[in-house]
Amino acid sequence: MLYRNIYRGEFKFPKWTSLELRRFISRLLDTNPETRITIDEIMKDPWFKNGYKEVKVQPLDFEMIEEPQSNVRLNAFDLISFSSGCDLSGLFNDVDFFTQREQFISAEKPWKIIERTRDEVDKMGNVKVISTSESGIRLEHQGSNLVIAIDIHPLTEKLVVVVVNRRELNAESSDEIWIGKLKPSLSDLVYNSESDIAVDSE
Amino acid sequence: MGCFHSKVTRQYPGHEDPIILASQTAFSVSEVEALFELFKSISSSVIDDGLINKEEFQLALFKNRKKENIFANRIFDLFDAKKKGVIDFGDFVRALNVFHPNVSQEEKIDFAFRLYDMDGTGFIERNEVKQMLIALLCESEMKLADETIEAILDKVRACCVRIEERFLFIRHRSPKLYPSMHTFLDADMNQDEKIDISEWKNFVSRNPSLLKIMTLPYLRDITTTFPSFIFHSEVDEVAT
Repeated sequence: MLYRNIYRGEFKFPKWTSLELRRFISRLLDTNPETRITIDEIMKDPWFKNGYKEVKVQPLDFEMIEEPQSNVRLNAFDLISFSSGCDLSGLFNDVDFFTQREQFISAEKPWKIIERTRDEVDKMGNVKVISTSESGIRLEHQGSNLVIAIDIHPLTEKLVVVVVNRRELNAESSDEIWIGKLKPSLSDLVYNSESDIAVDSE
Repeated sequence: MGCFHSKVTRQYPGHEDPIILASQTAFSVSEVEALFELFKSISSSVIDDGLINKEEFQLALFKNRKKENIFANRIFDLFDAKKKGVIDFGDFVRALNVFHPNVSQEEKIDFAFRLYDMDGTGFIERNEVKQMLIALLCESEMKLADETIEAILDKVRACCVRIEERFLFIRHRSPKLYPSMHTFLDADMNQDEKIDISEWKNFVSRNPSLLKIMTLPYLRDITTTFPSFIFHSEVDEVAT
């Protein structure tokens, strides 16, 4: 019933709403996208402007709040769960936004990885660091809604797993910035197990 | 209402009444209808038969119908509850239900156990975990020395053996009090390379991050993601 009303643009105002508010809401709930109020027009609307204070909004870091257990080592199942085959969110993926996750192993300390990322980002100019912590860093691209979240998890005494999550409205600038520039510049941080493997008879 | 349903059933074998599905799951009727929109688009992507086959599942998940992945395979098998090789709408909704944020931990723990128990023996064996680990490393182009892999596997075993150690202690101290446990241990002691469901539950309770793949927050907003369901709604007046 509710959805029918939404589709038809049928609604009733509560008694306490002012004329200006009713006008504003009607313009918001216009079912015709051509005539519906735009963001710019919202900013100019008399009801909206009254008492409005601008707030700088942080882009979401998609459910990856810093976890207190950043010192706990990843176990086998944590690792396994990184597989894209375990991630059903792909079923809903191209509807709203594009997300991609990849990971690599590093023998470097977390602070070094974060520092290097910061350095490379500074060189790039159009990408900004939003926040850092002991085990991660969040980046934002100045031209699009691209957000890159890098989190570092201990695996063994020497090794860490670096997880890189990207999210934005379309894949192109995400690929260009991460795959084209940032990822190659950090490639020396990737662990090469060949130099560590002892020769074995099998 | 009855006519619509039987027409849909002809095109979509295994389609079930949304009201019934909603009553058996954490989804509302509108949410089930929105899921049907998603189901329609996935199930028609390769063969338009109203069912999701393996290729269509792979296409939906990876945007690549040929991409094979052992976890996706296992998840497909778990979705295909009737073992027909295809997923119908009822299977789809019931399986996705487990991933709903409001569903019990118990169900998620159970599903995760069956996911990792690749060969369905009722145990997660060491070599299964090793196989899964290697698959993940391969997929991500990560390389680890074999000893590192073995060390990671040993750590898993150590977490699970702790239960046995507690029982061992009890058995040692009071064998008369716990004769059945005595038998259990004897049977189990030879097989400490396996994780059974109770060891898994214990393991997960100490490592809750293991269940994060079992919840899809997107399921809460499914009606906004697929608003077109209202055009095809089978149900007349429903409280949302």
